Amino acid sequence: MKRHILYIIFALLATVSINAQSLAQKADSAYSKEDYRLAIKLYHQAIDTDGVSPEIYYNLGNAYYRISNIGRAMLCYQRALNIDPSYADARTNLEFVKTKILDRPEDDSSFLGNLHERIIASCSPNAWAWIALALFLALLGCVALYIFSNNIKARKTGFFGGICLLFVTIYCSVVAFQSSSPASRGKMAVITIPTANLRTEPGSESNDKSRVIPLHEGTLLEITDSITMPGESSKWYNVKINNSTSAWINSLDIELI
Amino acid sequence: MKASRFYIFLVSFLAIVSLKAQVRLDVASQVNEGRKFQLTLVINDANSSAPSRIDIPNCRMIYGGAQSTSISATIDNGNVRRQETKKISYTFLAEKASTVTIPAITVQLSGGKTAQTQPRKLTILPADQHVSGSDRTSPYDSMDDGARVSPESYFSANDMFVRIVIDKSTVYEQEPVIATVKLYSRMSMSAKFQMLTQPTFEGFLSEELNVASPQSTETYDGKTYNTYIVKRCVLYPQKAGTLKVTSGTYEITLEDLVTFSSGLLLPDQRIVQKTVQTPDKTATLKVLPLPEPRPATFDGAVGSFNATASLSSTSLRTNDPVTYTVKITGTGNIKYLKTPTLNIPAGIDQYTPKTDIDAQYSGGDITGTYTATYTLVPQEVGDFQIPPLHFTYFNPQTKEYKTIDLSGYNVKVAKGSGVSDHETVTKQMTDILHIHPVKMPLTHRVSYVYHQSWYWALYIIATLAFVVAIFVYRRRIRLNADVRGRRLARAMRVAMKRFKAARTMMAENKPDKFHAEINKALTGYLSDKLGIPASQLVRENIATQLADYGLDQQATDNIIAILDECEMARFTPDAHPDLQGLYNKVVDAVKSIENVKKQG
Repeated sequence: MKRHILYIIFALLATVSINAQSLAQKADSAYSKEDYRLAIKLYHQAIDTDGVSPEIYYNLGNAYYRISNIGRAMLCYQRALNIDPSYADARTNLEFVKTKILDRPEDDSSFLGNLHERIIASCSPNAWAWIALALFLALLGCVALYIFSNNIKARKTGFFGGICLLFVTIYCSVVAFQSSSPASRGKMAVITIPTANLRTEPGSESNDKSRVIPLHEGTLLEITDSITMPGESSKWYNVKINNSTSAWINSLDIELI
Repeated sequence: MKASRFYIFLVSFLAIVSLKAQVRLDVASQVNEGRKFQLTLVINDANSSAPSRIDIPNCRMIYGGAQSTSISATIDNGNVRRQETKKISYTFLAEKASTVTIPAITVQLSGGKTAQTQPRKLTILPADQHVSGSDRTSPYDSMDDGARVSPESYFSANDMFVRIVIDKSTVYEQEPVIATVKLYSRMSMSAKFQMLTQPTFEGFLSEELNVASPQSTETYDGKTYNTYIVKRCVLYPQKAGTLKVTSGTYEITLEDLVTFSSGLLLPDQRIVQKTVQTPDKTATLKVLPLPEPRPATFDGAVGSFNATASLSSTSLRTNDPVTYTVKITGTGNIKYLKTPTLNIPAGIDQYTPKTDIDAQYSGGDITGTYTATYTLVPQEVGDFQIPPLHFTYFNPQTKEYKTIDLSGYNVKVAKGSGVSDHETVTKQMTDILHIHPVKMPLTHRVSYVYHQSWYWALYIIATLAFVVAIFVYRRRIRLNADVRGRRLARAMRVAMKRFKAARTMMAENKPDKFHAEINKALTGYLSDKLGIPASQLVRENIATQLADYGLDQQATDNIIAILDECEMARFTPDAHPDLQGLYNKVVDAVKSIENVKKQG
């Protein structure tokens, strides 16, 4: 009886995995046959039923780019990178698609900020976790050297090495945390309609004085606040366009990453 | 004598001969037959004298020896330079058209010195046809009679006119021609004249030239005129056909110094003035269209040119600018050449070319150099070709189009500094990268090692292991410290007990047992005191350990000697050693070790 139940469980698992493979693989082959709309549909089905992976978002982004839906392509690449910041091909395609966007937000990133982003992107989140652990063990080793050794040189090495390793370990732990926690990197959104009108005040009924800033498909925005206007079904988000400008945008115009 | 008169050519070229800068002969180089002319000797010496008579062939001297002296003083840096100039004038009548030579004139200077002028050539032109006309004779006749004349009657309309002169009558489109607007006058002209209307050059691009010396003399229509160039322009015809240019109108004040023979001894001289307005004159120019068919590479260059091209370097680096220079030299519409278009291959950026034109008017032509400098910045690594350039011009002399082929360049671009490979790749990317096969399994919740509890358990385990290791180590240290401490503390006590036993043995006179007891007491004490295990209690070890402990050589030797004695006594029981002495030695040795400790 027990054996039968096990067989049934294995059989179910096998069906599930075969099903999942077929959905994603069908989508891949549809993409290869240049039936991009079918590929998009299948990728979405695969995501809904089986879940996500960086590759599936990357492939979906490619499919959207092929049908000239730059906004959604950007969104998918961003999602792939959210899961794995070290996904080099997704970054390459993202940078390439960025050149097709009408809006060119000014580059207001700092040197240190860029360096930090690049460090995060240099290894996968799990690799960073292991690096942090290894550094922690090395730190313990240094402390042990300092405590247990009778040799004055070894103790000095342990002391100063330990201090250096302490900072490096803390930084790597932060990197491991940030790369493993997409939410910690700020709530981002991508404009998915051809032209979105940003307002200085929330609400579509707001007066004409509220200046309208047009932004185009694919522009990446950082969400800082949200509000639900009375009498409107959709929310309004306060978004940061760059370091100095922020405005309100309707939630229907954007897609959260 | 009837028509005897002369002109003072105030603005004419007076020939100047200087002789040691002392004697100068001022005389016109051309005179008309039947006219009076003046010859003046200018001598930089007030006390000089000249011959009263000068003979010039075919000329009759009318009057000679009119003298005037002028003194001029200049102050230069506080030095006063004083100059006295004497002018002696002679008046002649040219009698016959010919070319004659004015002989050398010898002048007597102050201090008995003499100076001589150079012989000079004088051209006597035939008498003007118009001069004998009736309109001219009457005022001069009356002048001879000494009557007053009005300026209006004195000047004639033909004495003053304007002309516009074009150096070519037939040109091609774009071929430059020189147009000169000139005032002609028989009288002297005051430099002041007014331009009433501007010259017009319709259908031309015009460019004014600087005239270095606008005044000169010219024979026109058989008569000698003073001329003044008002304007000189280069004209570039812009369309074919018969084009007209106009001179413009001018208002000029004429003046003349008239000598009246009023019967007195000295002639009466007076300046006569008149303001004249010249009529507008027109000149026409036939402009031929450039012959068809025009070559495809022709871009409006008309003239005679030569062209060269050069590249500053053929081994290039990315982001390292090089210059490509096209130089066109020659005669023609050099100022209106169009910059040749350079078809630079993709991968090399081209900036707007810089042009530099250096053209001059010389010898009736516009000659110069046209330089176009192209700045090229290679962006990509590889082999590129800068294509050949064709410069075509139309030569109006040969009436043909001519093309100069400027060679192209094959250049190699190496990697320079400043561009990272990533940027290059991004620039070269024309499409997205291909999809990746989706790796199984997919998950609804992406899990990271970092968020796993076992990952953090590893941290806790490592930390715990570390803490335990420290704890164990500390405990061992403490234990070790305890053993040593106890042994140290009891060393003396144990030794004392043994000594007591030894004393009993001594009292009972059992020397072998006494020695054994003493030996035990000392080795046991050393073992406890120095922390040496009993198994390592050999002579050499004890000696080194004691030395390390800080005991001096003498005491160490004593202890070794005691040990040796005890050893000896155990194997030679028959001997009767000095037990009390040995006992004292041992006690001293132990005391000496204890003292070391106290000092330490």
